[in-house]
Amino acid sequence: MTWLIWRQHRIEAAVVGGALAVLAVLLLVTGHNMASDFQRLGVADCIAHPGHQSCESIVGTFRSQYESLVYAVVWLNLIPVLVGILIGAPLVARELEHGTHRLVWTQDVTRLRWLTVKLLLILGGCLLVSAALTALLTWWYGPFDALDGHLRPTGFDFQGTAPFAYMAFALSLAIAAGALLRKAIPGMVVTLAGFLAVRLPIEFYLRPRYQPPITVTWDAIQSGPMLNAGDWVVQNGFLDHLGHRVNPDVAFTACLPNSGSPALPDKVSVLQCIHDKGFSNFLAYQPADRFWTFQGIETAIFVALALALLGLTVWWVRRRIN
Amino acid sequence: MSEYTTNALETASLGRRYGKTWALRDCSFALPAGRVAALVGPNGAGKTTLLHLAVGLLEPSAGSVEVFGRSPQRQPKEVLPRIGFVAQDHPLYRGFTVDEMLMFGRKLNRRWDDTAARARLSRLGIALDRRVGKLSGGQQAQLALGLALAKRPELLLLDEPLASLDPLARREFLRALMEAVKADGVTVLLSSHIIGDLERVCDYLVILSAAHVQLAGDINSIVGSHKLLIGPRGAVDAVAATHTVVEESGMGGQATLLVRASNPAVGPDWQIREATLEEIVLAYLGQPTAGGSSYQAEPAPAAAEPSGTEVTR
Repeated sequence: MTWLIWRQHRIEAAVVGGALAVLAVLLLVTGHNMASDFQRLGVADCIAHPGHQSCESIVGTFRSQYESLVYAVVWLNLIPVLVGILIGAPLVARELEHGTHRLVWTQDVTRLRWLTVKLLLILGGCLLVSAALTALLTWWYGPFDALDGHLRPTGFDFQGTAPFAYMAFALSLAIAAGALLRKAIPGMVVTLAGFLAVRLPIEFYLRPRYQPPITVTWDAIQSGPMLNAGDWVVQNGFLDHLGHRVNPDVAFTACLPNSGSPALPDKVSVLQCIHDKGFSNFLAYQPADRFWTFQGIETAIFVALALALLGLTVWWVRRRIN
Repeated sequence: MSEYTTNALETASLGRRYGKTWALRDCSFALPAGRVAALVGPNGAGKTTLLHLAVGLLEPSAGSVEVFGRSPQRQPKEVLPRIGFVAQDHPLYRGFTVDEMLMFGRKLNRRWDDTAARARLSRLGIALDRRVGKLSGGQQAQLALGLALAKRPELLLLDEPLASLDPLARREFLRALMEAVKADGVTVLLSSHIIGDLERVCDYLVILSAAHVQLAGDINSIVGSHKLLIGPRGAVDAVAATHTVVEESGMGGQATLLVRASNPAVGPDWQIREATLEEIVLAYLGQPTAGGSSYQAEPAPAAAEPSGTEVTR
């Protein structure tokens, strides 16, 4: 069985391995530059001894230089779904399309064993890819980890256990979609759509709510609370005099001069006005030390989905496909 | 349980439904071990469905199917090593080389006979380093048969193995099959919608039409128990009253009847003639769906000589 799986998937393995190698080189080069600039510009010192006058501009320079790279790395969130599309969707579907399931399922090895071994080995191989990527990206993101922590999406998505769970989910989804639709291409389309339809709402809607955020409020004319670097601000804005959260526009339109007015409004007077009209500031954040709790919740969700999809695939292949 | 008392394949009220349509219904027949059986029927009669049920690719919607007394669905570990299956269009991994297909067989089967498989391929002149996709249709069919035989099956099931082959490849395929039957005594069930080629090979017949088994039995006893009667149309009813008339044909005042009887007792105005296997098969295939009462011919003596009937086409 192991020989067959290797023989059938060696091209895919080569493609994934090659892409991973290219990506690794890019990450090693850019990561090395970023880490040395982090030291050279003095960002590391600023984090160790905050409060130095020039620190704001030093950190600003570093951020402006490397932020676009971080935005580019965000696209690597698509790696699990691409692997799923390449390897997962054709896994069962290609056999059905070519009719070779009638060949392979009538050998001594039972259909259940064929599927189990195939799922375990392919899943194992893809999780190794996740392990390599997670190790690389955790190192690569190090400087931004020091600045912003890793509870915020870009750090969170590539570190800890969550990347493994995304991979397991994407692959299981692709295998199930290919098997149920009996066609690889539609399976790929469904995989892409399904992955985004689950992954994005969880990241942007559910994850900020895994635990109730800590909310602080303060008077508009006073300075805000000091947060730790790694804390993740999930919402901030104004409360009205009854303590209800309001759209920031409500407060600003009440206090900004009409657009016809030539003079730029003075910041202090606007804040004073906001204060006078009964508004106050609030800020809701998830503290940095919730990283592993959130990782655990995120991982559990995607692993549960993956297991459900794998169970569906096994049942479907054993009972429904002929 | 002795091998001799066990049928290689046995179905009881077996049925398979797709949605509201029955692809196979109320199918009961037995294939004794050691036979080479033809499964004959028009396209869409349910032959592939029956074979897929027998190898466990399909689940029955009704009834049961057993291979050497075991369920292919519930006991695949016991059934799969005892069967060899060549599916329709002989599916193979087209990107594999011939050698890799042999490796596939070796890795996935316990009783794999690599030496025999290689010898067979070399006799056929199929090079091991060729890509499967580059082989001719006949060579692919031969390779598929070789893979199925190298499993050392006790029951070999072939789904329309001749359909995509030219006459020469057909003859070579059947020759390879017969050699294997002679050497290993494997039981064979071979589906086809062409009867002509099968007569030289098969000693047992299962006729499937309109999702029902119309006839199953030893070819010699089938041929022996059917006669053609040629006589006046006016006397047809009298014959039908005492005999099972499978088919009535003929033009004008003369009628030709195929009756199920080894010695039809009819008047002198009827001419009695031996029926050929092809005539019998065609008569049963023409039967309406309603004739659901399947007929199991009595098994012939075990050492039955191959059928002596010659079919003129």
